Amino acid sequence: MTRTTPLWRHVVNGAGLVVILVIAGVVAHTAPSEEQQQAAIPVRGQIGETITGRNIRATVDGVRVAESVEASNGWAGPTSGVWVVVDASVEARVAEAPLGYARLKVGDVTYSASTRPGQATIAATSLSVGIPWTGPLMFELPSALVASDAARHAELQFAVDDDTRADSMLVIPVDLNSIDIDEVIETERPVWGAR
Amino acid sequence: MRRWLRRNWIGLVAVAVLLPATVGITFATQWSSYFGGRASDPVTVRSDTAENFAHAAWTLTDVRRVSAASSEGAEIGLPEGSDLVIVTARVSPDGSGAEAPGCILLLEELDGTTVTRSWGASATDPIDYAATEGTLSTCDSDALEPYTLESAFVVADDASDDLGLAVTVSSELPRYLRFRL
Repeated sequence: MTRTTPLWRHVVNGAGLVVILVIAGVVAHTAPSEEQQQAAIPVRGQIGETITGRNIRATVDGVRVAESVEASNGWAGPTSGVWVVVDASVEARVAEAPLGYARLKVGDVTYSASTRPGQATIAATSLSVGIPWTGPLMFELPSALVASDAARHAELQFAVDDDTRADSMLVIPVDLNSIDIDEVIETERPVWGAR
Repeated sequence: MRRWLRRNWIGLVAVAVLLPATVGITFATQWSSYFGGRASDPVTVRSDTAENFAHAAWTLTDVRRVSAASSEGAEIGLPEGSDLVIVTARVSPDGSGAEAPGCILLLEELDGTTVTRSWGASATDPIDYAATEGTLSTCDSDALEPYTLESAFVVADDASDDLGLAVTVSSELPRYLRFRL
């Protein structure tokens, strides 16, 4: 003698299966991708504000633009574009680390802080814990880019490691359009110690 | 329902045991390899105690802290808002035939047993500190005779006095020596 499964159990099983499939679909479509999981964690702030991440603290005091630069060590920066000079103070918070990532993002393009001026900038400086380095960072950009619409929403980005995955990245918006272009900028020597 | 549970109890018990076991073993393997490769297991000793570690006997002989605001700090050229912590230790290779240790030295700021901040030795810092004559600024892996190690650390002046000297020898990882200063 065989027993037949009641209809309501078929309906419940079917409904359960549909619910599981819907949940699986939602999870699959909303789960962050590997790239998103490992992305840098932005910490946003403004010029003049001290911004603090996991192992980095920075204050951008000002941003200037010029056709040429005279650095404190005598280096002169000839360029067919312009120099964006960022005066900043940066320190580590937990453990010593290099300022491995200092970039200016304009539109989809990022520019690294120039190391051509050598010790006259704080680019690639080894950051001490609690003892800031204060000095300039210099970015060499095409002239047309500084005048473009994208330059209104440029971003300065700082992190302690060149590999920024899953760590704090300080992000400071800059409107490059609103800054007058000087003929020449003389920069100060980087200083180590409390300001 | 009860009948279904009775029919499938072996499978259910297997899932209940194997699922957490699989997750646990995976996590344990990953974490143990993560911590095994870094200095994560301090062997903490008091500053006045000698300790055998990595085929050598270690004894802390002196600790000194110089403020940037002092005349000595100004002479050394310490940056504003900093202190120089000078740690001296005697290292005696035990002559067991093993190579005497090369090491990494860090100064740790501690909150109980938790490291809150750390500083590396100031060898490349732009200051005018001259080490005491006859001392070494880092471990000498070729040394067979006892020697004196003097390491200087430029730290923030708000660093607490609860400091530890961490001596890391790669062959001993994840263990490392921590002198409470």
